[in-house]
This record gives sequence, structure tokens and C-alpha cells, in this order.
Amino acid sequence: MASRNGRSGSSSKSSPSCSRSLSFSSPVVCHDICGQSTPLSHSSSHPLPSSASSSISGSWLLGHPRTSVRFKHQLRRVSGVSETVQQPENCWRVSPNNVILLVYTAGRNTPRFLTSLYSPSVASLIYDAWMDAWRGLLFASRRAYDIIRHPSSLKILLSHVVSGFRDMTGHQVIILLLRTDRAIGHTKQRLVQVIRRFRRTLLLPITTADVHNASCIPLNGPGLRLPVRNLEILRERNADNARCVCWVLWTITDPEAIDSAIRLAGTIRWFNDTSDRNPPYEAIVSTFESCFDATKQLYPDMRDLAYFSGRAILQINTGAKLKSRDHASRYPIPAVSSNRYEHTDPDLHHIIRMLECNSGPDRPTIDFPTGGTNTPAHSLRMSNLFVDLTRVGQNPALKSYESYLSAATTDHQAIIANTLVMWYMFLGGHVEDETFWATDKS
Amino acid sequence: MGHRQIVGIGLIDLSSGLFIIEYYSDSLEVILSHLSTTLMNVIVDGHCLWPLNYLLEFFAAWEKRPANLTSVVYQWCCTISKAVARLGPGEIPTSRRARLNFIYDLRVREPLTLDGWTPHWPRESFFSTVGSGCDSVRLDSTSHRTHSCQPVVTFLNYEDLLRTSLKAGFRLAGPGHDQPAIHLGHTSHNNQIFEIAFSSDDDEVVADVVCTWIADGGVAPPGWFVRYFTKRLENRNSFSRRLQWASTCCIERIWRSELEVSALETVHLLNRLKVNVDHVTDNGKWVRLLIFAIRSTTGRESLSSHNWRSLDRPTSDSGLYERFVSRDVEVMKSLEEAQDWGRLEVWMVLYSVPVFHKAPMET
Repeated sequence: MASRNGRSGSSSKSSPSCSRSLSFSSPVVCHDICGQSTPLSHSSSHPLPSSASSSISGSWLLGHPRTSVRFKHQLRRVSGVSETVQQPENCWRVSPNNVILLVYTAGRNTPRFLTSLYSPSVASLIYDAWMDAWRGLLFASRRAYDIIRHPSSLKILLSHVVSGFRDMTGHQVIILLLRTDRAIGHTKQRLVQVIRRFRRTLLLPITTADVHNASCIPLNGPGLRLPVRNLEILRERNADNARCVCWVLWTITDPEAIDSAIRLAGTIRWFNDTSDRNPPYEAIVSTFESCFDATKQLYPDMRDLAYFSGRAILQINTGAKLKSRDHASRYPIPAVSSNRYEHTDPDLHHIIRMLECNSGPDRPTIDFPTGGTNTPAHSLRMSNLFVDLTRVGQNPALKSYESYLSAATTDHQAIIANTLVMWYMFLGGHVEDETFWATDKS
Repeated sequence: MGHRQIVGIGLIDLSSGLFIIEYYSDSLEVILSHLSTTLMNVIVDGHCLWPLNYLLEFFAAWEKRPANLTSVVYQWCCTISKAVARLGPGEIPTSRRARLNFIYDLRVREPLTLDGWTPHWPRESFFSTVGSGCDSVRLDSTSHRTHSCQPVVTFLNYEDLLRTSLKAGFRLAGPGHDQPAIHLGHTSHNNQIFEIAFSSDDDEVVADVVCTWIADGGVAPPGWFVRYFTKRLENRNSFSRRLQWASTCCIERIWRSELEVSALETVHLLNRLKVNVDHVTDNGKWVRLLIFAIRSTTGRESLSSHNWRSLDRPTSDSGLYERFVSRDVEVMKSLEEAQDWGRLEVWMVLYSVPVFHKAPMET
């Protein structure tokens, strides 16, 4: 397997001053504490886990000097225990029944890692190892660490840890070899239990070791990509819905059909590659305006139509803004004042507030719904709209601080996810296009 | 629930082969990870820091937050502390006027007067300026580091960020919240976090930073706890209820090393804390702590009557397995010489607890 940075275990040059010459009857893992890779007997390109045995019998070697320095520090922290081990400190013997291979895989865009499985020291090693991979230093190269630690939770001696990295069919693979000093059978079951128990313990740790170096965390890496189930179906359905709404609002006069079409219009992602057609905007705006009398009072029983047509206006206008400013000028938001609707339905009032503050040519404005007052369905739709508004050139202005915090307080996971995506873009993060297709991003 | 991604964890042993456990990672965690990376970039960058407070406040308001948020937030704290360390001495203002100028820089339409100044900036009134304030962060298509936005970076930006971060990460991670110990990776370079937090007037901020010790299983360099709290107690008579709780919980875990490093200061701290034995997690362990304090070189004379009285009460036996050491005889003798009959009685009664008879006398 090719190395991304041109370094691989088999191509690394050994350093006579640092590496140790090892001769083991069983497969060997060598840890070069000086940071030089020392290939032993095997090529380093065995895929895992299908050829785990051959990988283990190959050379599991170290690479990066800086990490080795960190690792030395790690060793010093546990030096009291390390003195009790009667082995060379930087190499160890692998034999059946004393090795556990722990494999973790995640998609490139799903940096998720399981730590705290065993002990803080192991977690630190995983942490460091992951960060090296994250920085692209060690893809497809190999690393080894030693650790001496008594993880009380497992009642086993994890005397050594070896980790390696692979880039295997689009997945990062981190391999940890844990040597235990006791029989593996019981330990294996315990590990399974621990993994299940700790499956949501820790997020991928992010290093702060090099904050003095401004480029420590790659900015040009892949953007945020969340999996969207049945994306193609969603795209097709979106195009179908757009066609359907246009046809109904342009040709049908049945009130129920119009009502349904307007409801649907507020959920369509307009002006993208699947529905690049002009929406019946004038019809929707006139429907919205027809819900109010000359004094701008809402007619009885027109709440739903006003709400859904108002939402459709916002949706179309936001879609147009995403395309271009000129395009947005073709879909102006009608002037409306929210003052007289303060005592109306909270969701409708919020829609009207949003229409009011986004009707001008100024920067988009995000007026947060209130968690306890607005319905969750409305808040979710709006939070999804906010994500799109944040994509429009300028950052939107924020309003309603208390309402903003209420989303976190009410613990609506999907709204929280949308709000965090919004902040991610606020701070300059890039989001892959397919992510926007998920209304619920949690 | 949203979509989840399956990743695999396999355990292999060479004798029996491979088995795979399905492992699920939800999208919220992925978002959080990306956001965390970006947030730390902005902190390191130092531009347009102030809107971050709103993001951190959002996390602080998130009551049912994922358990992993605490360790992630701690990384933000570390990043902030390192950014503070980069500031020159002239960039760390201490006067109220400097703080006022800082607030004025945050696009306040009307200058504030010193009388109206509060240490925390009014979040509500600045909220609507977030968008206009951070366009420079994201409008550049290449990198937010290359923009020409004039930074308004002061120590106070970071101080405020750190306070809010600690609140987001540790307000719900303290004593009484059933959370597993997590590895935060305390290292000496994180001193700045404690320096900044302990300089705060707000006891809750200090309690948050104390919770970093507790969440991490009480890992801290010996002497830290006493040093920081002794300094803080110089100007204060008491702590807030939560800080009292957190500090008691913390000292329960690390008292031995504190006594070894600075016995007198530790005893003084115990006196000032006025801990009610009924309120500690394990009163047997607390009694043990007091015994060790009395055994220390200055403990017998310096330990307050309140703490002596704490020994004069029935306690659970848990954790009270102490050997009778020669120093205990010295304590008795000195109490007798001082004719301090009340304390001598307490000391003698204490050693009538059956568990002490189980262990042989240490010579």
C-alpha cells in the first residue's frame, strides 16, 4: 500500500545509532525510541485486518522524532512501573495468546476515536497516534509504542502497545497491538464489555501541542460530510416535488391542491442542480398576502396557509440568495411588520419576524425561535434554514440571544446539530454539499 | 435519531481468530469534532475571538451534553491558555480602564462608564453584532488566517473565553454528577488555566477549574491545590457553596501529597474550609485525613477546634485502616504536656476505634 507522504516502513532508512538489532525466534516488534524506522524482515504493506498474522510478524516500527520525544515523556510518567519489566525497553516478543489486535476504522471524514478504554496512558498513546495520522504524517507507515501500565479496570498488564496506521479502501485504520501478561480468553471478554460500555466515552481528541505553530491543524482537509441516507432518492424526490409544486400552482385552482403545494414548497431545496426551475413565487406571495385583510389582520382559519406560504417564501428567497445576489433580487420578500402579530400563534409570529428582518437587502438575519414556545417541528425547519442562510456570502446577524440558548436547553438534538453546523461555517469551516440535504443532521 | 455510521472494532487474538463488534458513531459527534478543530484554529489565530463566547455559552446551556464534551472543552482551555502565554506583558491589562476599552472595542455603540462596568460583558446586547463582526473569518476562501481584519486580541478576550469554556465543560462535571473519570491530560503547560481561573472574582469559575482536577481523577502536581487556595483565601472569608463542595471533594482525593509538600498551609486550608464531616463523600476517609494532618509537624498545634471536634464523633469504619505509629505517641505526649485534656481525650477515643487494633503498631 502506498504511503501518502512517501514514507513507508519498507522504505525507511535505519539509523545505526538509534535502532537496535533484534533477533527473535517469534515475530518481532521493534520500537526505535530515537524515532527512526527500522525495517526488520517484512514489507510493511500488508493490509489489515485480513492479514493480521503476517502484519504482526512484520516490522512494526516507529517514525516520527517529535512523537518519540512525547513518548519518552510518556515513559517517564510511568517510569516507576517500567523498571519492573525485565525486557529491553524498546522491543518485545510477540507470541500467540498474548497479543490482542484492536482495530479501529472510520471514514476519512468521520474522525471518531475511542479512547479511555484502558488507562489514561493508553488513551494518550491513541491520542498522539491519531494526531499524527490526522496531520498526514504517518499514513501507511508504522509506529510502535511501549507502555507499562496496570489498568485496574481490566486487571491485566498492558505491558506494550504497538500502533500502526493503514489507509485501507478509503478508511483509516488504526491498529493497536496490546500485549497482555495473562491468558487472553477472559481478557478478551472483558475488552468486549469495556468497548461496549465506553462506546461513547470520548470524541477524537484534538491536540494542542503545537498551537504556536499556526498551521498545526490542516485547514485544507476535507470538509464536514455527514452521511445522508438515500441521497439520490432525496435528490430525485426534490426534483419531482419542485416540478409538482410548479405545475399545481401554475395550473390548478383547487384550494386543497394549492394548500398542499404550498406546504411542499417550503421543504424543497430550490435552485440546485436537481430542481433548477423557477418556482411559482408570485403565486405563493399572493397566497400569503391573501391571508391578511387590508388592515393586515389575519383572516380567521388562515393561520396554516399564512404559515406555510410564509415559510415557502423564506425557503425560496434563501435558495435564491445561495445562487447569487442578482438571483435573489428576483424573489423579494414582501414587506411585513411583525408587531401586530405578537399575540398570534408563536410559529407564525416567528415566520413573520423572519420575513420582516430578511426583507431588505441587508445581510441575512437569524432570529432564533424559542425552544419552549415554538414547536419542535418549526424550530427544526428554521434551524435548517439558518444553516442555508449562513452559507450566503456574508455571515448573518444573530438575534434573540435567550431563544438561541433555549435550543440547547431543550436538548433537541437535531436543532443543536444544525446550530453547531451553523457555527462551524461561521468560523470558516467547510461543509460538503451533500450534508445540507439532511434536515436532521444529528 | 439521525443517521449513524458504522465503524468497526475488531479484536483479534492469534489463537482463536477474529471477531468484530459493530460500533456506532453519530453525526453529532462528527460535527462536534470538526467544530472543535475549527474553533481551536480561531483561538490560535486570535482574530475575532469575541463571538466565540456565544458558541461556548451554547455549549454551557446544553444540559444533556455528550459525556465526551468535557474532554474536548478541556482541549479548548489548553489552547486558550497557550494563546495567553504568547501574549506579551503589555498585552495583559489589569486596570479597569483597560477592560472598559476592551468592551468598547466590541462595537458598543455607546461608551460605557466605569460605574456601569461589570467584569463580564453583556452578552445579550452584543449578540446581534456577531454576524457583522466575523465576516472576515469566513469570507476569505483560502484561509481565515490570511484576512486583513485588525485583531482586537487582548488577554481579556482569552480570559472571558476561558471562563466560558470552563463553564461549558465543567459546570456539570463536578461533584454530584455521575460521570466517569476522563483523561484530560493535565500537564505543567496548563498552569495558565489555573492562573487565569483563580484570578477570577467568580467562585463558580474557580469551582469549574477545580472540577478539572476532579474529572481527571485528582491528578495534579503536589502542592498545587493548597498553593492556589491559600492565595485565594487571603482576600476572602468564605467560598461559594459549589466551590466549597468542589474543593472539599478535591482535597479528599489529593490530601496526602498536599500534606507532604506543605503541611502547615494544608492545615490552615483545612481550618478555613470548615468542612462538615457529614457532607463529605466518605467521612471515614476525612477522619483519616485529619489524623494525618495532626500527625504532621505542625498539625497538632495548628488544626482548628472545628476539625478536632470532627474527630469526636462516630464515623464509619471505611477507609480508616491506619497503623498506630510512633508519631501518635508524640502527639499524645505533647497534648498531655500542654494539658489539652479535651483534645487528648479525642485522640485517645479515636484510637479506641476497633479498626486500629487490627493493624500492628508500626515501629
